[in-house]
Amino acid sequence: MHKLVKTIVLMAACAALPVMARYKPVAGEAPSAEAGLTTVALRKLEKSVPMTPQMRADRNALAGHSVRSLVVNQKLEDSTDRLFTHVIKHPGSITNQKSSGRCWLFAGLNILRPEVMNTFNMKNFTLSQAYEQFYQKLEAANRSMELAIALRNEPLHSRRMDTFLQHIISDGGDWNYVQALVVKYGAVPESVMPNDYAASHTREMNALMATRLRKAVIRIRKAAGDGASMDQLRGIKMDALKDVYKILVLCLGQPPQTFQWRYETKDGKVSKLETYTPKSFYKKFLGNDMNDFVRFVNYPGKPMHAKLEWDWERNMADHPNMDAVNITMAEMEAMTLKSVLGDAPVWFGANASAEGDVKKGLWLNDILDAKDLFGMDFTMSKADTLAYDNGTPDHAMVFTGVDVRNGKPDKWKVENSWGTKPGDKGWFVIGNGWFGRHVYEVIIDKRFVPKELLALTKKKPIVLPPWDPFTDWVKGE
Amino acid sequence: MFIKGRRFMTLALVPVLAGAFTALPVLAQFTPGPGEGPDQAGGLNPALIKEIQGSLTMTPQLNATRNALAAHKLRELAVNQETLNQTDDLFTHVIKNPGEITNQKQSGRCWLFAGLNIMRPAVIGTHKMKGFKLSQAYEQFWDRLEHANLSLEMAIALRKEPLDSRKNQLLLQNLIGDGGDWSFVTSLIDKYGVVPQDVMPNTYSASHTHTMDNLLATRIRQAILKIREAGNKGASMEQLRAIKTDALKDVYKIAVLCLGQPPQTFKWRYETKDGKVTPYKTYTPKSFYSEFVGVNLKDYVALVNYPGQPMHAKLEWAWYRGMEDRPNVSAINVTSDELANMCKNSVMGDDAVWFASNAGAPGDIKAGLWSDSALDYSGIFGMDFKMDKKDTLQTYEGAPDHAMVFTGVDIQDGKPDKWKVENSWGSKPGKKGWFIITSGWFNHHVYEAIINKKYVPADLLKVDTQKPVMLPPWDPYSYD
Repeated sequence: MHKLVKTIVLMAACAALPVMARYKPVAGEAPSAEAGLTTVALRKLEKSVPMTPQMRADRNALAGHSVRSLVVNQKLEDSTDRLFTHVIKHPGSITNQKSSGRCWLFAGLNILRPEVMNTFNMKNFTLSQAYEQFYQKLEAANRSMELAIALRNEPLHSRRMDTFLQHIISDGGDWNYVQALVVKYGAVPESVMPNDYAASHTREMNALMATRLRKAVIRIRKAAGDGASMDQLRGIKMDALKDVYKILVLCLGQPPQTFQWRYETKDGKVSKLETYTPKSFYKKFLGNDMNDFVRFVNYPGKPMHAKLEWDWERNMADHPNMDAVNITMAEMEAMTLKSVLGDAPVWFGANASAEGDVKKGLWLNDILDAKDLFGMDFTMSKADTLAYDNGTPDHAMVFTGVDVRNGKPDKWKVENSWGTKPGDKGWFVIGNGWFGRHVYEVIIDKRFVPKELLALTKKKPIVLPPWDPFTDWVKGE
Repeated sequence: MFIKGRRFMTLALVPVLAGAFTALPVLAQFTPGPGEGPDQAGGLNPALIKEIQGSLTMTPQLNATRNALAAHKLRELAVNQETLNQTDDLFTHVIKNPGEITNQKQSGRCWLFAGLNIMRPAVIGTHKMKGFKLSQAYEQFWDRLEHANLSLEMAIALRKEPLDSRKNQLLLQNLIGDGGDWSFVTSLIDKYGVVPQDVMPNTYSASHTHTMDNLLATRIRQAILKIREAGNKGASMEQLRAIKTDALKDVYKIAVLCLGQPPQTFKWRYETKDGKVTPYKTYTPKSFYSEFVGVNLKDYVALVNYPGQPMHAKLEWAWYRGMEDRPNVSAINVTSDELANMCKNSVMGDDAVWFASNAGAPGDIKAGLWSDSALDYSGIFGMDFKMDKKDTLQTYEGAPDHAMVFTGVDIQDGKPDKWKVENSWGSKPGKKGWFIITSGWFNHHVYEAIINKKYVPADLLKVDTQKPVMLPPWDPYSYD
């Protein structure tokens, strides 16, 4: 009897305990003495690195200088000029995303500029990034809340739940986000809704919105546990969205519903002052061609000429996931060339953290020669780079020119959104070899896409999981 | 489990197809769960947008806030001036002989700086020194090597796991980070000893680790690729470890070039408080530790406050260790009050306390004040951003991300009111590098403290011998 009572008490105590995420390590994960660095192993390592005069010289140089500053391949840099055989007409002035992850939005709005400036004979033209950013945040918050509702029965700390919570709201995005935003909300000129402090420095604003959304996730899960209806769960969502809206209005300003605007023409004249809504403005100046663009990726390791779809990667709850056709680099290069030669700038995604001299604005293969300094090879194939998380697309920019030599592209002119300090007053160069290694994604106007590639967009997609590394930057990592 | 993941095909049924499939790249066909796909009913339709817009009235007050925010940092506008003015810089007890403020610069070595700093006061006192700093770069050198060995051993253990599995993805994303914990410090000192800072000072890469660590990670990834290829071909453990050793030689070389060669013996002397210079003496790193520093590392116990996990239980984090052949990080889970009480007794006993907290939580870094009311975001936006500690951890809102040292306490009405903190961010922020943590902030954002046994109650010490609750490698507590 006494024993039984004890057991019952213990059981009750156990039930009151919080959920224990007990984890069972498999063989080899636990500490192991034989696998440690023994004295013998350490001596071997030491012996393998004799301090030659060359090594001593390198060590001395590295003591006070960054690796990057010592390994710039000067010969390569000196032999690269800034000239291009074709540059598109009417590029706009260089923009600056500052401390925000809005590259995809800047590049997305910037590819629309040349045609507008040409058609309307404008001196300059920049679209408001903050206007799209405002609605991007609101839509992304709604998407996250809908996902929280969908995942309400998912255990905390499952892979799905953790992926969701770690990226609940971020600055990341891709072309399909720009497309969806402009079609739904239209666009306004930059002067009508300029970048306020928080638009350009998003960290704190994002953190506050994330906190507000996490609180809603907790409420949604609690309510669902108590048997709340979908209506009630969406009521919790709306409460959170109202707060998100308020934070956005205070940080970014209220998006205009109508506005008056005029512009200066190339020959110094001022156009008539007219009243627009964001949608009428979009219709008049940008036309309706947002849907004429096709998204291509080069994702070695995934089947070629297949359509890929990334689950969860959408900025609006009611819009399709991001998808793309997987093509070879030769195909990507050919279409990009055709497009630039046809005066259509190309939105692209690349790994901007890969080998490059950002100060000078040069992304060239082997421009950082760490191999010679350390005496070892750091290269990895593009497929392995992605699969082993050694690099992923992390920055969107615009191709606006190309240097063709012997009928082939030798290097590309790039419009960046890092202001006018780095590079050649903000303009960058990408070598064609670097294009092959580190460019992952391009957006091409239909008219430059061969029929057989266009046909692939109709294929049934292969769905990739939300933690696929290719979309790390979209999630906001 | 809700993850359905791959669809398997019975190979026996489709032998021809199977041949074709093996040649294809791996298809990670993913099946979305219910409600995860696009949903018209969940979209922001015009009626909902109108409802949201209608919920906000731009009062004069809100207009004023909006205008101020247009050109200013939130953090600067939100500083609660009353809190700032009402918090003085005085403490009822401050430990003797603290060293000079250190600077980890652009590296994640806070755990190491704090770990080496708590040993200084006793050494400075015992040897009557003018000042004293231990070399962080020396421990960092061996930490890079040990960390690489640990990651490669983990890759060998996981060689049959799919590359995109949760475990492998976690490993690949955290191959050779700068992070660490107290037990990493004790393992390093126990195995490699210590040297004074002037014997192996911080090089550029020691203080700016980004590029060095990226190169190390790339070299380790190349080895993991080889290990998996060899593993698939049925390589023996010896062959796999040979691939590991090749990579470790390169890691060693990169570390020597970037951080310098760790000394095996060195001559050293110091200046005393009264300006005298001691005679030269020759040490090895291990003899220097035992003769000169002499702190018994086994006397320290790790305690955490992890609400959501069982109280007064021992917790252990899988994978979380500084060396392959040392135990995982483990700690006794206690209440925040118990933690504060032990910290207080330790500081009152002139023993500095290593602790870990969420330094990203609200605080005025410029003024060096971490207080729950330091930043008034609620006042600006008219909404509540508070979250309890358990939810904070569980939703990735915050987790311990910075280690520092308690060196003083201000006791009011018998209870700690605020703490004096030695940070490792140089002498620019805070009061010449010294920070303040209030007792409220301690409760919400301090997660871990390392306490000398003599200040730990016997009933808690007993918990240390319990069988630990094993937490997964992706536990949010150790995630950063």
